[in-house]
Amino acid sequence: MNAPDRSDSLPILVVGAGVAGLTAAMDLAGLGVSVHLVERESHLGGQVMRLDKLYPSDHCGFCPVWTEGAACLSHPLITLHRNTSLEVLANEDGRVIALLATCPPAVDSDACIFCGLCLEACEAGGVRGTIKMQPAGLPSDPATQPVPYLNPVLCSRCGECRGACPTGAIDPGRLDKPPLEVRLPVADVIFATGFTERNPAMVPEYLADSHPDIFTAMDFEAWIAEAGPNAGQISRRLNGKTPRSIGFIQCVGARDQRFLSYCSSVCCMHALKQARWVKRRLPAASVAIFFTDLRAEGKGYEAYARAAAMEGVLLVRSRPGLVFRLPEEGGGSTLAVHYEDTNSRQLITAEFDIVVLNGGLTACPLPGQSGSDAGTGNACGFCQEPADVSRSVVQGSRAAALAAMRLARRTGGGP
Amino acid sequence: MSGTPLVLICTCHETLSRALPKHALRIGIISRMPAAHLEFVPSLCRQEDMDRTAGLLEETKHSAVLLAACSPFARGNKVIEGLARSNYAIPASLVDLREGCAWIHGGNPEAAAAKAVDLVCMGLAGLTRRERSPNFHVQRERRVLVVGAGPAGLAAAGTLAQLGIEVILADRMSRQGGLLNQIGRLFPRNTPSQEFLAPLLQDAAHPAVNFLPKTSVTRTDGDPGRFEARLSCDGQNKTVIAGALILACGAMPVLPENHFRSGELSGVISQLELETRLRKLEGQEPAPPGITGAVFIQCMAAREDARPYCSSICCPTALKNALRLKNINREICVTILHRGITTPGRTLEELYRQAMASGIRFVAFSPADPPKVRGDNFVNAVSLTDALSARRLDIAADLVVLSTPLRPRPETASLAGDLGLRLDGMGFVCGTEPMQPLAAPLHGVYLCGAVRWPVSAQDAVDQGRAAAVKAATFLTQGGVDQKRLFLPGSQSGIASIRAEACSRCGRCVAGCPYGACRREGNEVISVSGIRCRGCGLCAAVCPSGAARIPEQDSASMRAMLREIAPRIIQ
Repeated sequence: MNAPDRSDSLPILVVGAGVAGLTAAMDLAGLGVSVHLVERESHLGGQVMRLDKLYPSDHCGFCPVWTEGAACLSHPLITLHRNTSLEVLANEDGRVIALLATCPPAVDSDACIFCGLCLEACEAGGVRGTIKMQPAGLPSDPATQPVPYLNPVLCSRCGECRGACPTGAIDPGRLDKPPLEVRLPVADVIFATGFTERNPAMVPEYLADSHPDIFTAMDFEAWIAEAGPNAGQISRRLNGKTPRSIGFIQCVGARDQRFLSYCSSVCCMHALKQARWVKRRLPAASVAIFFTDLRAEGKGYEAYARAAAMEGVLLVRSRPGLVFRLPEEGGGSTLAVHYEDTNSRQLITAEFDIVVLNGGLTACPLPGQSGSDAGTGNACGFCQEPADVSRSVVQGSRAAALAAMRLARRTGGGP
Repeated sequence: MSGTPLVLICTCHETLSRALPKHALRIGIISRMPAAHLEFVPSLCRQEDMDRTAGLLEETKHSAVLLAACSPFARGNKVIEGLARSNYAIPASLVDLREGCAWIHGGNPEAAAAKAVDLVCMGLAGLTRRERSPNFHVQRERRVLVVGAGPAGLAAAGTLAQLGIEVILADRMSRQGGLLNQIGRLFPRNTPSQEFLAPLLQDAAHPAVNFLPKTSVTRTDGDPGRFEARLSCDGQNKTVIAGALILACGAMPVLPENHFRSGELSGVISQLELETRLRKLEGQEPAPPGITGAVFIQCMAAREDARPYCSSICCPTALKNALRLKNINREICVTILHRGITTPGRTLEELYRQAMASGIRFVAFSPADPPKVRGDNFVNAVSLTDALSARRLDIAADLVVLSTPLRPRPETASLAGDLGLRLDGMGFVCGTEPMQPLAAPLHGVYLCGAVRWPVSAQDAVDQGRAAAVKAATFLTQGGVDQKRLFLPGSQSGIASIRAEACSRCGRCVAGCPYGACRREGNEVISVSGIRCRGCGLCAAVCPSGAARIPEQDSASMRAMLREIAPRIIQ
């Protein structure tokens, strides 16, 4: 009782290969529907690939997503377009045509063997730093591996890297090539474009970007990752010393009429996860989370928050008014957070070695929307509504279900 | 050549030759494994080399092949998959000579080469003794039993039917709709629940859906692909066969038991009772007199030691009903007493803002100092300390609404118990978090709606559709879970029990988390191939060495260890 081959009918386009898009693509392919999966980046897995651990299990996020990505890559019904964006979704005589633009990457990740010879060659040529490993020190996915990245602005096009590469994987000449355009008739579109972290520098009272020990949540995740630059040890970016205190400020630029009025939904649990991780590594450090409402409503989340409190993470209901450098001691190396403790109703200024700013995640826009109304209701994951991994994968499956039902209604018959 | 193992050493475009000199590897390996046939190839991950390897295997009929290349997380996985596609069903294995050897010991070629020789010899020792689990075929009944006809179950049934799969939809009530039949309107858009249910009922009224009212599942047996469920339908028993199960049996609201003097004072009601009252009030024109002040108390009997969880839907439900009261009569003073308003995301936060804009007052209280309901016979006020200002407040009220959490239904435990599913500490069923939250650890069993965790009606529907897709995929696909990391050309191992060594002690039966090891009669213990996940717990608890995973059995492990520590391992 195998699924019939639907490869002759039009494929369904899935835009975005984060966990929601991967799940939607895999579920559709599982039902025997052919899928074209478009990913803007060169790697699969989206933002989750930047997470060292996933709450509430605290297990590594990389392996399950990597496995999903590997299964997706080898699935005969899934065609993957990496480094590709959906430009236009047009309706031509009742048919939906997707116009895809693929930027050929300077490094062919299928050919690259990650030997690093290009990195050495580039340094020898005196153009330091034009090639760097990415994403920041974290393991990557089956599509890319730790493939070097050629920065088009810094690269001098000298070609030394091309000469050094044993497999012919790297070619700076490709940086200046125009994107390759493909017209693809599709039966349906699922959007799973995910989110981006807003720059907290827009919130003037929090000094973001002005001090090395002020992190965004995603930066801090990479900084303390076990596979990251410090192998899971926690240190200050300023001087490499062990921090005595770390403060997490929630709702930075979110639930805030000046910026984003909504709640990004994942940040409370994200901060709790990082706070517990810090506490486990540095039991003596004082760790505080400044929250507006502690939203731990998912399965097992309240227990997770209670565990954090038991382990000594200080949960303070407060929205700090100011983060500033303390003037004394070593040229203002220490940060201070000025806040009202809503339990004691006192104004407090507390010193912190590290401050993590959390919040302000914005949905990525749904591309190619002009001139077509196809599939706008079929978004899943964070781009539809703020969602964590567990919610995103459910939404991905749901989007696959709805698309498969529409297809079944059109063609008559199930999988 | 026949019968000898082949070792293919990838030099990774000659980038490894400095750290791992070829002659050193050749001498080291052949002196310890004289039977092995060694070949150096420049880049196993390139198609030319893969084709050449396949050709070589066909020509020479080797007994096994060891690929000495890079980590599976680099190109190793691709090499293995390429070889798996070439149809040579011989044992194959991968050892990592690059990241884990040449790279990290690059400064000391002697040590690197010695380690490479050890790794190859261990790989060969394990490989030549390794067996493969037998293939198994599973019959899949193309029918799904959906337990529960609330929003989640209805959505699952409707989706499956449209995908061409037969459904048995069983519910303990005579009417479909579940808890939504007791609720008038739904957050976030104040949709009448019957309007919300209508398209779901229409989809589920499909000829492929067989709805069994007043039916409960008394027992489930069988294996994924063919479950046998005994049903009790309105006093009669019957058995149905289904290839997959979807649990959508929901949850039930906790009802107040003298909480906040609810049994004692008239006017103290639960959120569910308010739903009933609102339906009556909303029909009346002009606005009925009576309520002048309403106070909602959140987190009743929740987020406390006895029930340490947030039920997630009570805050938005209270906001919705508070707004309904305001819609009936703007003059009603509505206050929500809370311990933090939980409205994550865009839509729910919008609802919160809407409630604030409509004049609903929010006051935080501390669980250590809960609000006190005042009055004789009739409620007349609620007193509390505002947790933020520390001021004592007396709020006049003639209606106090207690927001109660959802708790698992009593039948959930036995249903989960029959299938060997795990419950969380609160009694909700566990999926496989976070990547497969709706898939039970047992293949072919899926969860949706409040049986897993309290959810909104819309989320329940979404989960129902998602669970339906998973079940449909399971029933229509040939394989179970073809994802694999390291084992070439097959799924991961399946436990086997050697009857001649088995003492019938039953430890494996008790120890298997998937119910795969089972006793047939009083005699032989067998393993269900589709249930087994290859975890090896049975092998670990077996006192007589009868239970084993052929791919990773102790003989081959010992042989591998013997290669590096002959003096320690006998």
